[in-house]
Amino acid sequence: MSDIVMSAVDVNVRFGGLRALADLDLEIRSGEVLGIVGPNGAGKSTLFNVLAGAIRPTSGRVLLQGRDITSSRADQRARMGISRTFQTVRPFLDETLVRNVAVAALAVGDGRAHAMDVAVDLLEQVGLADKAAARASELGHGERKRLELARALAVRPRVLMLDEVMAGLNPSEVREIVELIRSLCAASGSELVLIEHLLSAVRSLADRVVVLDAGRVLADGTPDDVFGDPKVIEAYLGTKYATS
Amino acid sequence: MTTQATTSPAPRRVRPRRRPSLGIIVGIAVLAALALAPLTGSRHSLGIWTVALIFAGVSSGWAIAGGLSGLIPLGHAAFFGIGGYASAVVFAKYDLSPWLGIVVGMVIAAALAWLMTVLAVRFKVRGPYFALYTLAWAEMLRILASNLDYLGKTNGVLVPYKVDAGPADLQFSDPRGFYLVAVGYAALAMIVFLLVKRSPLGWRLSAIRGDEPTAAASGVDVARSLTRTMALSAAMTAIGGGLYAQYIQYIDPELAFNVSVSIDIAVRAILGGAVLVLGPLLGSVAMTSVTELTQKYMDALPSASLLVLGLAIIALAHWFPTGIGGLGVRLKRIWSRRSDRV
Repeated sequence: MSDIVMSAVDVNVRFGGLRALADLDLEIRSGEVLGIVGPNGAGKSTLFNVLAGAIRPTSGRVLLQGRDITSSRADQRARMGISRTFQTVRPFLDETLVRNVAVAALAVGDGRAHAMDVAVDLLEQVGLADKAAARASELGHGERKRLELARALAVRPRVLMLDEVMAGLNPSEVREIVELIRSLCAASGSELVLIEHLLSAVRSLADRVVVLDAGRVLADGTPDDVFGDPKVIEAYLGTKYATS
Repeated sequence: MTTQATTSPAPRRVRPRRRPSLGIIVGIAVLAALALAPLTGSRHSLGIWTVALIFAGVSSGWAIAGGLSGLIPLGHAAFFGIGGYASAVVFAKYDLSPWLGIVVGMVIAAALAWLMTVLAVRFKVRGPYFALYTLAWAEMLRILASNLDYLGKTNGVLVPYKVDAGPADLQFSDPRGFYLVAVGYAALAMIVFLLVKRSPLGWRLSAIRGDEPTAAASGVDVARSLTRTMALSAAMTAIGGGLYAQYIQYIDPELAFNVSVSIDIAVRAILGGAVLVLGPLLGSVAMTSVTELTQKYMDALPSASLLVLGLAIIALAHWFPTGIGGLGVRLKRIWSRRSDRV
């Protein structure tokens, strides 16, 4: 359990005067589902962007299995198996669902025919097989989130980072996607990192939870330990949770 | 640990929506009709349609970048002009085949486009800034050509008549000869467009056009895809510039690099539908037709063609943002829906 797959070492990100991440250290361990929570502006999405290569940290390093990948681009990291979804989902609207997913499979696979097969398979897994030939623009919000999940899986991730995949979904959709993520975790064996505002979902999915606050790690431990920590309750959850 | 859910799917072949090839069939029919057209009718408008077809090809070349990648290059006069000057200089100054000049032009244009795009990607020049950036490159070349003795400054370069000229010199005793060359070029440009659109590069471009960060997160090398595409687009455009200079037997900085040339190239594609293989051809035919008809019937109003074109573009942008070709696609969808119901 303690094999470190990916890590951020002493990472700082500054946007002008704002310190989005401050001396942050994070380890993603083999076989775990890691939940990352924190209030708005805590630096969760910034952390994802640093790990995925969408932004270069002001200082610090990102390692994948001990190898320094700080200077590699987002597309290179995707091909290394660091895959992410976006908080605001922006699928390729003019394209069919299968092409949305297949273009990612093509980046790591051999040939278009194979990429198409992979895409159809993944769409089946996320429950969109019957709409494979529809255009992404025809999808509702919840379906777009599932399409995003299929796209992120298509690069054969070693580390899969899901940024608020449950935001904006209704309760039944949340239940569905929690089930889906559970089964994907079991089946794929890739490490899963979740950013989620929905604490019930994090509680039921994560093996370990990291709480961010103002760009720093406030707490790190099992869900029960973390959510029982008075520091966390005060900074993030509010007094309401302290009694419940 | 690196195992995944999607390894080796069963070899079932689900192929949702293989792109209908109606566009190709119509394209072949239109090109065949165009190739045969001068055999039947009068010849006095042959010159107009030769130029229209050259520009259809140029516009298809533009659409490889402007349609498929989502970039808005507005300086394709740079590549058009390079092709024109290269073919004229090689023929007039070195007495070599203008075909060779066209190849030289393609190489220079592709190299310049590659450099332009590398810089644009490096400094994150996108959207309207990319349009202005490319336009500025074309302007730089216009000023350069206007001041270089080697290129005849503002006088440009004359392409001389050659005694016993043949197709190798791009000079024909029968005007239908050059017309057929233009048909061939338009066809070639459309084929290259289609090959790119359906290639893995075309998939990547479509993703980049959809959303660049999502494309990058999907493993698409945005920089490399865009530089390759621009280089190819520039090379295809340069061919048209070379043919044009040979056809009118002259090239000067304004004919080659003027802003209006860049706009003309882009508008033809946008008018017809820049993501459709038939789009640039349709747009080019429409634009030339409008220009000719307004000059014939509305000659009291000198710039009537611009007025009509402007209104047509506004109307298309409002109702059919994918151009004239998009109208056809939509009609086809309505038709197939109706036949489903029957």
